[in-house]
Amino acid sequence: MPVVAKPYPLLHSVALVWGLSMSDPCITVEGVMKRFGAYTAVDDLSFDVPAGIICGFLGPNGAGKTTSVRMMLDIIRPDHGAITVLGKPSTDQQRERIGYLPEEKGLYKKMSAREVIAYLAGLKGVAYSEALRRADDLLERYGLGENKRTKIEHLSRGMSQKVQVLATIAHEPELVILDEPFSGLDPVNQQTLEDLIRDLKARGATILFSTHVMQHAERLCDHIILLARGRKVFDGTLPGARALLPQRVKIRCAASVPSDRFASFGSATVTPDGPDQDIEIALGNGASPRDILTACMDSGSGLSNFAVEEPSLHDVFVHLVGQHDAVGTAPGETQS
Amino acid sequence: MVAARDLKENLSTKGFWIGLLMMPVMFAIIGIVPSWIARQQSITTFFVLDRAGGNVDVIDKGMERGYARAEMASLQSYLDRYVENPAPAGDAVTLYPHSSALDSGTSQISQADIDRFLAMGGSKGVLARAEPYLVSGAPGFEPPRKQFARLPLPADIGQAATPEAFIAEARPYLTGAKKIAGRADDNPVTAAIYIPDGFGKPGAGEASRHISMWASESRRQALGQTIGGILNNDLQTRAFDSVGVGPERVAAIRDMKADIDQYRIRNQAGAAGANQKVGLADIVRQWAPSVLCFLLFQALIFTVSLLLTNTIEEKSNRVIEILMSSMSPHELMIGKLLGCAAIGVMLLAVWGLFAVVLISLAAGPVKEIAGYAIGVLTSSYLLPAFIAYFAIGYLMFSAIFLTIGSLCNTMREAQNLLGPIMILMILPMLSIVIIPRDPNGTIAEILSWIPLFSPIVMLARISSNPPVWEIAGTGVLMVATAALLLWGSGVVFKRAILRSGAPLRFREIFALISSDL
Repeated sequence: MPVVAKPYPLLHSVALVWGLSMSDPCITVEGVMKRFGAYTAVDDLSFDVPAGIICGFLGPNGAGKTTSVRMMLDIIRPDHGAITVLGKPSTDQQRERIGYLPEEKGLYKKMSAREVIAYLAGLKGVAYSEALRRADDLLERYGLGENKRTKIEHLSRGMSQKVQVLATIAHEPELVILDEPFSGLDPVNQQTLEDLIRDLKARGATILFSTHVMQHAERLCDHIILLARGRKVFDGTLPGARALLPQRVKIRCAASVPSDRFASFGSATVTPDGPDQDIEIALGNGASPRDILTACMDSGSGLSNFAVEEPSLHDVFVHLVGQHDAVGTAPGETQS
Repeated sequence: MVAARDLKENLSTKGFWIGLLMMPVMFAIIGIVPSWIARQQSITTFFVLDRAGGNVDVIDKGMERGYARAEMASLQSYLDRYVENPAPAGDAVTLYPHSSALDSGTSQISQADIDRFLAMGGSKGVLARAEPYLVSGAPGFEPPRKQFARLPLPADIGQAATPEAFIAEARPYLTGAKKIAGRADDNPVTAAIYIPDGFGKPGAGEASRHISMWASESRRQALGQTIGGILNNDLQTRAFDSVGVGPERVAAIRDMKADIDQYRIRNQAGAAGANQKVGLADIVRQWAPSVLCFLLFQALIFTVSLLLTNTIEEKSNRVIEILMSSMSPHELMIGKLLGCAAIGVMLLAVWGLFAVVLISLAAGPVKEIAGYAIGVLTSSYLLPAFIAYFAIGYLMFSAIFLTIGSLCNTMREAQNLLGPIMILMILPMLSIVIIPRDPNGTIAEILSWIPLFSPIVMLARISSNPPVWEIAGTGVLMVATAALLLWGSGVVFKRAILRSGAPLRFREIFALISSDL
């Protein structure tokens, strides 16, 4: 009956609006697998990237980051599984809403900085005159105003990489995917790029960036996805990642204090240093730093330093990747 | 947008402009260089020891007549160009009977013509008479350079009895060790000639007709031929004289020539002018397609090479991945095809423009040829065929080149794959030398049915009325091939464009294509 059929389009459009809302994930990857010949690049990968956040896509070289990113962009197709980007299957043409900086950077050498940005924005549907205006704006804002008419071949590597980042965002995408954006940049430019990524988030965009330099991820990310050998080994927040490893407490006290006093709080490493000793304790058994401090106070034996160290993301990374590698070479499997 | 960028990028490269100007410049060079070389050539000098006597005069006179012949030919084309139209009849403007541009060489100039020319006072005399009829602003006549100059025998060379003795004395002059006194030219004498006693004595037999010439390698042939020709002539004339045939009679006999009128048979019986005389127009008609084929080939090679370099550039500078995130491989491919096609069209347009400019500036025989060429182009299907075959040829070869571009990361890798493809492109070019002689022969027919060869081969044949079914058949085959190649290259392009490893082998390429079926 035609009358009954009517509400469906309405419902559908309501669903669409909901599909684009901030609370829904911006990227959903479900059971994705990709093989290149005999090599499995990505194996049964599933995760969500919530909208409006900065998400770090971490992993060692060859972990499958670039392959996953290319599948999200529909540059290559997964062998199994499904990917939803911005509420639609990634095969849907919605490239205007995505900005992508590939791992291998490069631009047309013979074009000027503003032309390249405007051209690439133009490919994403921005009118050329508007694209040129935005290119000039962006180049001014990020310190390349003097070079906007310089040909790419005459720019330094770092500069041209900055130009490429700007070209990635000139069409004001809702989702920005940056593959190793920090590689090849000096510390000053790395800082500029971090600022830029925060600017993007402030504007409401979702940012997914891959890196194997943990400091950037630590400073920027709301959410972290860690890959190793094509599999996901961690998916969660930064505090969540840190919680995977024990806190460490470093104390310096008189050498006369017996080190087994701290054994009940976790594993302790002792380094004697003349009349003093340095003790590092990886907390365990539900112990807290306060317990150690109390223990020290009780002894009253020359505590001269007390420090609590959160595990760094780097530690978590090494820990998780090492563990995964150990799994990967378990008996019964052959290492390639 | 991809098309527009590729177009713009190519317009800003040096290679494009070189390619654009190459063709006109090449034609200009073909036109100018020979005369330039002729002008640069230094004069060939020689001296003669004539033991027999009288031969120096014969050589001098012969050289004078030879030069008069060259002078007449260039004076005639000068007059053709600068005497106002309609040209007044008479000696002053017609030095010898020349019928058309192609015949304006020196071969038609008879001994009688030369006599008449010399009697008129040479080029000076002719120019004085032609003066009133020259168009205003005509430049002065520049006579051709003299090829040879006989020098007087140096004083220190004696009347040597043998060639060996003569050359012993003459050698220093040829090597440049000695100079002839009072001569401004620093160059060594080019040749020394020894004419022995009793040369050409009537009834003395073959042994008496022997002279010796020493010369530097490069000039020996031209001088030897000229001197030989002059002396032969003299020997024969004297021999005729001894049997009672005077020199005038001999000259008249030598000027006798059979005139062959060539006609061509038309396919369409009963058409107007069924027996047309073969003229310059027919020669143009016969060879114009070959010239067009050459242009087609050049334009094709040029545009598809640009396509290849652009694709490889985008791969090697990694822009390709950004592009792939902005559009589908098919969109990218079509954009590139259109961009480079626009380049090709521009290239042809500019060449065409050059041709038009050249033709409008041309005068004399060139104008005549150009007129016939235009006639051939406008009266036949050549021009539309050229455009159609360019389009189809472009699609076929661009598909191949795009595939190569998508498979390779560097030009170096591409070169390896290009080898066989280039042979495929050049083969039909070799055939256009054969085809005009037998446009509907077996070789031409076989080559026509090889799709990659068809555009050039069929263009070469098209003005010779090949069977309609052949035009249609090869056309369909070509279009089908182009479609197939484009489809295949689309598949490979899509799969291979992001690869950065070693180029795929042919087997792997076929595996790619078949996996998409």
